[in-house]
Amino acid sequence: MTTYIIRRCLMAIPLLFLISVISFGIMKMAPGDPTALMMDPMIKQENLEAYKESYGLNDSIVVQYGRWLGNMVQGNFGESFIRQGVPVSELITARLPNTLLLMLVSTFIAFIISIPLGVWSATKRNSLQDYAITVVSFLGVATPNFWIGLVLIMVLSVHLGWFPIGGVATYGEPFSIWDRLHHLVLPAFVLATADMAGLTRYSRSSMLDVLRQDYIRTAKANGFRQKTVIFKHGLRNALIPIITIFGLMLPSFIGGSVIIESVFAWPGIGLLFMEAAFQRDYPVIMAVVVIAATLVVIGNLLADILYAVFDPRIEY
Amino acid sequence: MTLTNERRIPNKPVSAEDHSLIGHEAIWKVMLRKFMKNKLAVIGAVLLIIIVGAAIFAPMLAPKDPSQQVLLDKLAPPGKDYPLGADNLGRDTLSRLLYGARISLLVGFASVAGSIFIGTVIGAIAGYFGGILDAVLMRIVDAIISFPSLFLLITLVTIFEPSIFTLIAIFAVFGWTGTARLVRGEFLSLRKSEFVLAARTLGISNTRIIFSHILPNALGPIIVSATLGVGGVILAEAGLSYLGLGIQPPTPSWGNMLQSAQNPQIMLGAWWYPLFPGFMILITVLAFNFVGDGLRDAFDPKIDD
Amino acid sequence: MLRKPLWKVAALAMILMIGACSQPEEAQNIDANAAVQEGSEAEGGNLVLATTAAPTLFNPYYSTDTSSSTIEGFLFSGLVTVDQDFNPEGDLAESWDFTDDGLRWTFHLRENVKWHDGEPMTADDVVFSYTIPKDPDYVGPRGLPFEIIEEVNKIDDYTVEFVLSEPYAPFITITAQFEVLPKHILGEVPIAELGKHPFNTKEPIGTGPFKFKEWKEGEYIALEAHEDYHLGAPKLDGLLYKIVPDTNTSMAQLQVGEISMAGISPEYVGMAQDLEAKGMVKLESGPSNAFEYIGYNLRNELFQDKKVRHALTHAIDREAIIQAILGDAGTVAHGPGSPANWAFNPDVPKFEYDPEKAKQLLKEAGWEPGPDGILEKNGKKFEFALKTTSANEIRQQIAEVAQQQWAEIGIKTSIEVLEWSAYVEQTSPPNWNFDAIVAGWSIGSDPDPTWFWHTSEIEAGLNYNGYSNPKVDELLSENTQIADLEERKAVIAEADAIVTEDQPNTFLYYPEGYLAISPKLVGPSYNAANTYYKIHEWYFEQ
Repeated sequence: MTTYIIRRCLMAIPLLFLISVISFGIMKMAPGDPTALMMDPMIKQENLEAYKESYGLNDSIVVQYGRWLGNMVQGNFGESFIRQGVPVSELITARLPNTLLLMLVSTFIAFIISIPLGVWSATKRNSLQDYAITVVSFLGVATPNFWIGLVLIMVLSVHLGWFPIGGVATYGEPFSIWDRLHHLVLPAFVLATADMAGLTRYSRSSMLDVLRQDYIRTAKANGFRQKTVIFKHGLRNALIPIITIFGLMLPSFIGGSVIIESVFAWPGIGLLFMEAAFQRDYPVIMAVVVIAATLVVIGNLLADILYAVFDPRIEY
Repeated sequence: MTLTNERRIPNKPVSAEDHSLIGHEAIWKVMLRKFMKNKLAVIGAVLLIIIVGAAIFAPMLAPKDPSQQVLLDKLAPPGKDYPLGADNLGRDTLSRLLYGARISLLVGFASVAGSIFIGTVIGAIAGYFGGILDAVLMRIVDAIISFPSLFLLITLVTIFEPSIFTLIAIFAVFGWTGTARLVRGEFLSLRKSEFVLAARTLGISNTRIIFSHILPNALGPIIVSATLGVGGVILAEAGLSYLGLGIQPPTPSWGNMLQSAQNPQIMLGAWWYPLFPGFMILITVLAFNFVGDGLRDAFDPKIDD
Repeated sequence: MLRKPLWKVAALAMILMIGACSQPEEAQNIDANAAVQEGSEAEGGNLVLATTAAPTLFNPYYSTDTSSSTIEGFLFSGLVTVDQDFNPEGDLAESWDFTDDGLRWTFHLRENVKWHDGEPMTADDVVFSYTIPKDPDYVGPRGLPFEIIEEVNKIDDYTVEFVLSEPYAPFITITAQFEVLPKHILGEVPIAELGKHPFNTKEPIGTGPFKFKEWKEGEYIALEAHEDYHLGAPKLDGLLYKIVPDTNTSMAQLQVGEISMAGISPEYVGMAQDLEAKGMVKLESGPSNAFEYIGYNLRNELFQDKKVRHALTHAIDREAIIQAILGDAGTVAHGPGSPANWAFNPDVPKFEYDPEKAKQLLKEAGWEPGPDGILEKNGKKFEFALKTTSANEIRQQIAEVAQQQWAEIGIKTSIEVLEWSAYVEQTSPPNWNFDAIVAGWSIGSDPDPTWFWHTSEIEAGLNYNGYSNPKVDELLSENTQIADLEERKAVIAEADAIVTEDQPNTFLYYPEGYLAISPKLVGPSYNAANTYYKIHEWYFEQ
């Protein structure tokens, strides 16, 4: 196992390199550049040229990539083109904790609610409860996240006043965990709903698969209590798809939470990326791409390790 | 129950291989019978047929031209003139729903079919063979997930004319990675099972083992992934329009109808406008889900018919 | 929609709304909002403003976005500012005079002005600031307004003289409004590095009513009152500029009083009116200094015949558009300019909604309906693409309405909705890759229309249409040389009338701006010129 993990980590280096090359290429191919934002009647052509020159935008793409990579390997993400002079690392460090916090809490909520629901749904297959859970989870699929967020803000925050409307903390008040949590609840919950529908369905489906296995039937036939059967024998083997989804969820928080971050004015990486993408702020975009790619690699590696932990039949 | 040889290979799912004695026809008949016994699955199938039929015959069914604007009837509530109300430019919601079904169903089903196919094949190969092949394929998956697809999409706009086929291709090409990881996970777990080992010792070809023996056992997550995919794609289509790549106005789709209603004033003041497209997406996904569940059971020999 | 005071910087800026996120309704930003902290004293409290787009940096010579320039307005002061009707008013300068030929301008500075760090502001700072964009090493977007400056001379510590190369009417309302930077801090910084200097983002020091306190990335910018402000200490304790990317969220905050002053875009006017009815806000409105249009690419053969352009305009029902899409938050436009502006000419040729007349004009121009009902001429069909950006939902809807209304007279259009940067790249020089666009311009504190219509602006400027008329060129070149307002107004009016007659654009409407204000906040009022006029005198009633 250890050698496997080491091998995978070593493999990640050329992979990240490859991803960065292709991403850089795709990013540069897209129409527009950072000067589109500076479109201003008062700009002089030669000043525009000077701007492009000073950021190396006139160099060939190979030279530009080389320069970026050169900085990158020294752990330097460069400076933002739009927020001139501000190191990209500063923007990332300001926002990454917010994203991670949101992500951890919402993942926790999603798992803690969905898996029991899915399991319950499976054990009560074709009952009223099962149908109700099915309909509600697909309601979640058919309802844009943005809506759930907005409706909750309108009802819980504006009308009932239970929660603050967006932001991470109350301005001007000293740091308090309670205040932080108060701000966190709604966005984390809404973000969790995005994954809850899928997780419930996957856990229901794998639970059903497991319940159909002969050994479970045997165990039941031999008089083991149903709960013991399900939790001792069944759940462990039903975990494979859940673990897969968990691995895929990890990186999806960067892109997947943009709408939630926007609705709840939550200053995370997703918003930073979106802003940078539309402004063509290349260094910021590349930094987020690298972070996201790393999360992908970690997420899938973690999933692969967990497979082997939970399912002794899996070895690499 | 006609599956007499189930005992011989323990824990083994049904496959055409084992029923060569009975013949293919019989198996399909068994499956069809099992499917038809599942009431929900039948209801789902009927619903899907109705929805698809409505989409096909939209020009005959639609009471109005879906692009005809009557600005003064903006956001009209459901009533005599507009059975399901009118949208923000005074277009008939019912007609737009019917025409929108064409785009949404085609994009939803075609791209999910594509991505499920690619994902299943790649996931199965990676999981079954493991080793270097698995490593290479899964690193490709990692890479595709990591790309800033946003930029690829923006770039594609400048290369391709926006069309429904571009859309389907994009969803299929970017959408398969999750399915591939799910299928691979199942295969990793099943490839060392007794029944697979037994099949191997019997000299059954890898292709056969993969598709006839293991795959039916991995159907659960695949069907869930397809069901969620259909819903996701129908909604995401509207997002691509935002980048200039999706369906361009005035062509309706359920996704863009829902999206243009994402405004609290409309949500609170004209709830019927977002309600109907949202409801159609829900019904379609639910129906598809029940059909999928029915198929899953029909494929499973352990479920009695 | 409401732009922040374009009081200094933008002569005109494309109403550029960056769709920061994936939601198209973000298009119309709330650009300037404010709010009360509950329990504030009669004097004091924090004014809370909100923006959908984060600012970039606080240095007027380097930033171009609205959020940044709003905050720059609080942090810095210029020689002059404008009042609520675009009249220049002394700020750092107590008074100014100029020679009859309009070439020599002398500014007499106030002697009580202090930088936020306590240093006195003098003529040296002014001279320093005005040489930045003139410097050959300058890398920034503000070069043009400084081109006409030949020399900036310090006469004494509190007198500065500008020598211009030619008379330039917008000098006082544009160039002289640029904020002054502190020489004692930035004087030694090489000009080439000034754009990236930490001063701009970490520790800006100005002479404005508020001083910089904190910039919390992605969350807010906090400012506090500058007690030594030369026009009097602000009554407010401070100012909080929040970043709220989704307009729906900021509307919710407005509703509960977390934000009590907000510019309201047309989609949200109905909501704001509800809030007003409930007594939660005061709602004020007036014309905003902008116009919206459908612009034709005159390089395209289709649009070269003036009759055709007239026909295209006659076919569009602008009244209906304003009513249905804008909820009446606008007035029909016939020509360029804006009723919010002193140079506005209402007496331009009118093109009423008249599809029959449109058909007639097209017939005269040689376009006849083909077998499929689409107009044809010499075997060529009348069809073209109408582009707009997904960053603006209103414009998308207008495109859809125009498409149908043109279809009724036999013209076929396809709509292409593009992401903002791609849209800019495609439509601006040197690509001009469009047939027609739905767009808008916001006009600055000087009404000079040269930017849009002068032939010299085709190659690299804002004249995207490629419009060229020698008579208009002549009038526009003349307009900036006239110091007398009435005389200049007549010249601009004449040019506007000719442009209207030529219809390089179908002029759609003049947007109405709305401002929602907390009932407790005293001071602000809606105006197109300077939203934060005399902000140091604003206060909260108890």
